[in-house]
Amino acid sequence: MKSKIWKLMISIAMVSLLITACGASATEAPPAATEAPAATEAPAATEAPAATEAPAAPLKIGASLPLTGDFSEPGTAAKLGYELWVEEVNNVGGLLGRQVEFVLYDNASDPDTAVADYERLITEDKVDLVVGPFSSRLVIPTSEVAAKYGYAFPEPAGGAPGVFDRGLTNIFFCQPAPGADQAIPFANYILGLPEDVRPKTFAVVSGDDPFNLGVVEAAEKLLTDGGLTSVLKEVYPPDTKDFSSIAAKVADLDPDLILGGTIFEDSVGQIQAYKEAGYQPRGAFFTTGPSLPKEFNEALGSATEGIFSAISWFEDSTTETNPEFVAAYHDKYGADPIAEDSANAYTVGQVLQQAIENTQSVDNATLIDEMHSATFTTVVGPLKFDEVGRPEGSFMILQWQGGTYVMVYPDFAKQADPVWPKPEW
Amino acid sequence: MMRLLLSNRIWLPLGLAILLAYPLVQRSQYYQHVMIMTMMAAVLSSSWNIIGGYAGYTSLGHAAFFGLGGYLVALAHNHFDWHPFISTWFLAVIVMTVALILGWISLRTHGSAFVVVTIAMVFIFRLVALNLSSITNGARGLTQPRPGWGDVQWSPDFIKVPFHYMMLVLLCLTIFASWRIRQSKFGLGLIAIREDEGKAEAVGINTMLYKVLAFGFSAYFMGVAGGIYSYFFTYIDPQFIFDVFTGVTMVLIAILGGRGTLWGPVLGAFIMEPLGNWVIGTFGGTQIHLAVFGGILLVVMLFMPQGILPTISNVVKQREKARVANAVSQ
Amino acid sequence: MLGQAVLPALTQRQSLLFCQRSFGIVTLPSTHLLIQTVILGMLVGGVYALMSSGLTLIFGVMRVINVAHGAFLILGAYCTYWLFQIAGLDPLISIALTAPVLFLLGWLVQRYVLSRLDNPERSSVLITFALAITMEGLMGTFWKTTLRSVKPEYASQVIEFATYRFPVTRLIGFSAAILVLLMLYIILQRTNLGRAIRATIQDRNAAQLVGVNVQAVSAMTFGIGIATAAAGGSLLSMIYSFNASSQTDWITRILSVIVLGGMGSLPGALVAALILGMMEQLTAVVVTLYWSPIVFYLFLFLTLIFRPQGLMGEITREKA
Repeated sequence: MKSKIWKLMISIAMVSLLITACGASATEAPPAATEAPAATEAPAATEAPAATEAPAAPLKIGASLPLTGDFSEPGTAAKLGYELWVEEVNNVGGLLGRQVEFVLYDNASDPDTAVADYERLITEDKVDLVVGPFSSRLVIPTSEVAAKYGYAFPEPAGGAPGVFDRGLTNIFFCQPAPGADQAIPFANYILGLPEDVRPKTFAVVSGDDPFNLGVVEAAEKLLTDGGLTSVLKEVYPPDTKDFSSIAAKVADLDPDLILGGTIFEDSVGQIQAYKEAGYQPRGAFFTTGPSLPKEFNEALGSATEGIFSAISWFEDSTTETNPEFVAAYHDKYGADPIAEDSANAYTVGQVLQQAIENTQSVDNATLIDEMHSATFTTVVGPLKFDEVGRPEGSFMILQWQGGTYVMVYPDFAKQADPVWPKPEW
Repeated sequence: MMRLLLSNRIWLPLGLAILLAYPLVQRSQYYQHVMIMTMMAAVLSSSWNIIGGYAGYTSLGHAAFFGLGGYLVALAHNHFDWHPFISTWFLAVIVMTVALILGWISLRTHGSAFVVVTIAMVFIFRLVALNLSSITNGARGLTQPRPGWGDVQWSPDFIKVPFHYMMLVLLCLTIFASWRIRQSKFGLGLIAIREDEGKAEAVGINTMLYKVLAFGFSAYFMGVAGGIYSYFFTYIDPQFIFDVFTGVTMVLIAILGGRGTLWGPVLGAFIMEPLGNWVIGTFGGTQIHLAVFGGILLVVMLFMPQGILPTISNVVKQREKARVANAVSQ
Repeated sequence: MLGQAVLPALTQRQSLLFCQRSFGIVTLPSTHLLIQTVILGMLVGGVYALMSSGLTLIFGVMRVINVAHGAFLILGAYCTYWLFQIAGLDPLISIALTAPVLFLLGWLVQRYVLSRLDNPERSSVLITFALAITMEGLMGTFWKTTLRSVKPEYASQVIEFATYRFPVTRLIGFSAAILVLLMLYIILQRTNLGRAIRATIQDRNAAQLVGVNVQAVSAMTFGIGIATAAAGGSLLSMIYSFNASSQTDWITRILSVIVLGGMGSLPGALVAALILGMMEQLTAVVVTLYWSPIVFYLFLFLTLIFRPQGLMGEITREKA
């Protein structure tokens, strides 16, 4: 009868699934574990060239980065930083005599894929250590995975308040200051301008991303407390491409200062829309975007002139280990300017390396303790973390001048005087 | 001998035993994960089958109810500390109520118009979830505490096992419900609606009532599955969970296995889900899996529109007819 | 002009024309912004009209809802992009190349895929949906997820008229849309093929009875419809940035347009496109950008339920 044939089919299908499952559990190279039908992008395993034959078992370090999708530009920059660090470490004999094997997946900027990637890295690939992805949006859920298994989670780019206010103790944000503090130097600069030049009004236009929104909201508060008036706050969905209506709104209100909470595509999108709408602010600040030296310039040309951003690191900085990093980077990757995210990823490697060498151990619990107590020498300067992983330092403000960017604030990093008001874009 | 092998009495308990023993035998986290996802796919497409298969109304929007269940459970967990394994069964009733209302509105349309309306439904749900950030946390999504019971958090090795059994229970219930519906007058009415709605109406069936009820029932199990799912991943966000692609996969699975049959969706799930995982794993980082799914759907719809099970059983029937004809003519 | 001539003492911001008032989440924009938004909305509406024209024509003739239309739009956009990158071809000129290619593609799809369906009204959505995701998957695999757009030199230029700004790309888009719609109109009203198409739209069986080769007409119409997608895609590439997954946003928009306008009605599509374009921009400005897509979904949902024939369509007696 019909129903019996169906049951036969199903039992065959199930038994075969079971057999393959049981059989394969003995080996260790299964296809990817990802979510249900709704999965969009998915991991692609790549291995760093630095893994070579070594007498001791290789030290596996795993990561999942957004190499495609919304965060692909900073994600790819981070990849370069990680891989450079791995290569350097292996050239001097590895860590504790073990060569480092870097296992990297592409999460396509999707949090669910990132979570699955870290699960897979820890449970399937059995990595010894993990390092974090780019963006708070990805760090927040993936740090939970690492915490579940007791892994340390040093990460290059997750500094939003939401990262730290869950009380996890395994996270270490390897930049000079947490996200919310990123805006402080800029607010100070604005409030420090002489009365007649200082802007009176400002607008906040930000993507709905925990990090960028957090930064501009912190700036908003500081500026409002300092006497400026906010005329508009617009939050848009993360993958918005059409800014013409927002731009028309902003142009109509004509605030003196614009604060953009952006990644990269949307910073370019906003600026082009403002141009079209005829909006010429006295000053413009964007969170990410302007800190990507090559892409930002290519996309906007002369429109970059005078735009501000906050940055954790710059190429000509003379902090200990930075000149060597810069030289090694250009050796390996060519003469293109270095993105901040590469330096941040490299910093993560440095922190991990020093923690391991200080404690002579690769046990995660030991490393976590060490990372909470020691001060680390990195390309972004000395780094020290508080009990939830917030770094205790400060950011620098950059401004685009003449097709490239220079540090303008605060004094200890200053390379050139800031230009105010901003030339027309 | 064959008859014995194929009989219900052997097969059903055998299948059940395999599924019961599975997580104890298969220790790999990855394969446990795949099996849970496979069973969930079977639940989703079997419950879709109630409105899409029995009644013939193709809805591409059921992901809306899946997502709604996920959000309700996550919210209840975060605000009231209700454990998802218990709350999901009750919260899914809310999902069903919403579905009944939406069904009552949208089932006035037929055919292609209905499909388009359901697509719009998913997008509206997603937009609402994105915008009501004070409740849903918008694009940032909702996280739940790590799975456990009471104060005990389940260890990483054990963590998938309870989900497996929850999903198994849900699967059994869904299939049982689907079977009872099929055998009942209600189910016959649905099939009549599928075959010729005008005539069904003429014969005295309250087609609107039947359709709306079917829509609601199918949403119930979706909601439960969604609740378990949000706990399983401990994180959901609107872009991910309100996705038309989820709906399309449900439909593809049901059509592949045999739309309108009892076991077709289950068979489809057990084929497509592992296959899908394999494709994503091998060719990950690209969008080739979209092309594969779309391609399979195209091929099935063009060449095997009945689905695997009915096609095979047709073939077998033809052969039996031929054999009987041969025997008789001799 | 009002602000400058009549009230010279006040700055532009202070004139009455530029006042804004807020009520909670809704901000009543100043009159100036309102008019500017309406202008932008109409310009963009013209482009939506072009994109939807093919879809509504296809439905009218074949009763097929081609959910893959968005994917064809994106395909057209990609072709325009690559022609621009490789040969420096202006996006408007490349329409002359992309339109015939897509016409052929559409014709093939109809002839070999869609004609095999025995009940197109019911199954067309699912099958074209499958086609759409297959295309999205293929395009995404070959051309990745990087956002693309075509920026010829006139890309960020703006024409100012009476303090209102008219972005050049959108003006060109609007004009091109009107042109193509006119061409379609001429084809439909003045050529034999057009007459055959109109006859098939009116009554398929009757047309067949009087000797119209409905099969051939369907194939030609589908081809024409997809060719308009090439034109629409070219404009899209100039005005917006896109990648393979943008096709979902676009198909929902144009579906809403043709549903509101009345499926099968070209003038209806134009009117609906203008209305929806304006509503979209107005929502973004008056409420927030987050809610503006809902305009399309709501109109789609409500129209199908309460007035399925849209604004200008015919009430079709559908087989339940």
